[in-house]
Amino acid sequence: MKPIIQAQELSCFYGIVLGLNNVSFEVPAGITGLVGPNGAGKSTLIKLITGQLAPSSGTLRVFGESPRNNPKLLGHLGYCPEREQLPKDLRPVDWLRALASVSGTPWGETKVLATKALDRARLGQEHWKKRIGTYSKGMKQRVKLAQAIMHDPKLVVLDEPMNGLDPMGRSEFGEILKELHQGGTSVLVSSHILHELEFLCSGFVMLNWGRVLASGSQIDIRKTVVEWSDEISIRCSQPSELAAHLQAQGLLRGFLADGQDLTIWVNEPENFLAQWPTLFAGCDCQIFEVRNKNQALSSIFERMTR
Amino acid sequence: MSHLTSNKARLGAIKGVLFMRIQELTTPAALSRNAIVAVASFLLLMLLRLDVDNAASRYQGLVAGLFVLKFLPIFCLTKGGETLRSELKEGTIEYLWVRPASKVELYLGFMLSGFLGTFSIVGSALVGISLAGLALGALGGGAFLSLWLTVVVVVASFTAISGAISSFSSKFVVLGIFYYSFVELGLGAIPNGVQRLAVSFHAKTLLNGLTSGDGNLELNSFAWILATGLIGIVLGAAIFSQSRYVVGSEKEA
Repeated sequence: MKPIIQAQELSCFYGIVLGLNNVSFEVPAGITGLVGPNGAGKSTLIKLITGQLAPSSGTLRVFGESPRNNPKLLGHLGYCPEREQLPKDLRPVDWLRALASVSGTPWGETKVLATKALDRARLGQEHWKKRIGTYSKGMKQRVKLAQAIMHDPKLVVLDEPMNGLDPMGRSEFGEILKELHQGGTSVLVSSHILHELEFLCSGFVMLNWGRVLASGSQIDIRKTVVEWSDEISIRCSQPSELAAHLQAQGLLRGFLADGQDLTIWVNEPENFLAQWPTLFAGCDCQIFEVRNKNQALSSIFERMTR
Repeated sequence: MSHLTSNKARLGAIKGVLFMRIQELTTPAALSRNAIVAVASFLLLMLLRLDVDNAASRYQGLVAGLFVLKFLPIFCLTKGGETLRSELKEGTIEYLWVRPASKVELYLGFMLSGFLGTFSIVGSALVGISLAGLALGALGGGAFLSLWLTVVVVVASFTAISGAISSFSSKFVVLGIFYYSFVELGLGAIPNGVQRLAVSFHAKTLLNGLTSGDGNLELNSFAWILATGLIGIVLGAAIFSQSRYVVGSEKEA
């Protein structure tokens, strides 16, 4: 499949300050995570993709076109900036109508677009009459998302959209992004909190100090850089019973059960993870989650930056 | 399919930015502030009734000399560029310039909304001033028209100049005061044609109608004032469309 974003030896400097340094990568359609610590270059890359900055050198193509000074392409992008500031005296529908008008939507059509977008971002109608300045952080994030998806873009770029959201809010936000993807919109979402994106994204671009450490699917990245850990965490309904079941098969070197969490140490972790549904069969226990310690995105990132 | 690929509305960016400004200017707080300005202006000028014999001449002197020629230039030169600069400082401009709109159109939107913002206060004051003038018998029909037209073009022109300054510097307030000191007070005091570069010089000419009571709609003066504003708009739009700004800070382009 043709990538939606292609960067070739892309660099961006702010005077003598490094933003991005000679990075090359491709982003396919789908939900892609842009991960890295603060100052890694995520926002710089996002500004390049949305045409706000020009590359210092190299090339960047979004849907095969350069995004800088390209209004036609910008019409297919939605962008949600990291900063929280929103026009506090405006009501969300009015703000979205104005932005739709700026995008060139005929005025008569703006209200329908605005209300539809707020619905899709799951901002309750009871809040629409209030001014944005009175909103909570979670509500503001929904308004920000609504303005980004209002015009049915082909790609939505979200810069740290889950900052400050509680776990419930993050989960709901993830659901919205999945819905967008199912509707045919690609999503590029940045975060410095890696586990936020782990279960959401099909691919990743990992950045640190202005360089791309790795890009591709989590499995691809893991294959190239990470050794398997023998420590596996399982969340299930009956940890003790499951541990006994696995031990009876001679698979364990040790285990630790705590509430619904079971940590096991296995002899052959790669085989175990490949076959775990079969190995668990016969135990009357509900499995919620199985994780290898080194599978975690944060663990991969930690190893890569070591 | 994106909604933006067909039937792109003309001047949508200007409409959008103006709509936002109108919403901000019609909040209960903003309307109350304007009402207070109007009432305060009216009551202050009504104090002139304490000296009934000289009320009309004092009124004309205050309105022309103080309000139009001193207050308006300073107020507009320090407030006109506020819309653009606050968008840049707060970062809300990011929502605008990632959209398929030309930067020139966005700039014109900022300028018009800057004019609206400035005129919402100046206009409120002018309502109070005009009512006081009518009550004091110091403002006839011709003078009334002359005053309003002069104020509108002066505000438009100074707002455009302030906008041009704000397009290249976040210190537009300080530079606006410099502009007032050097161009309006400095050049405006030099005879033999140089004073024509100052908006205040032409405003003064137009306000002669205030004292004569029959208005003085001198087209030449209007043209000079509007041309100055137009130069400000063209200059500002050119700078804005070619500059790279640091959003969310006081840093310069």
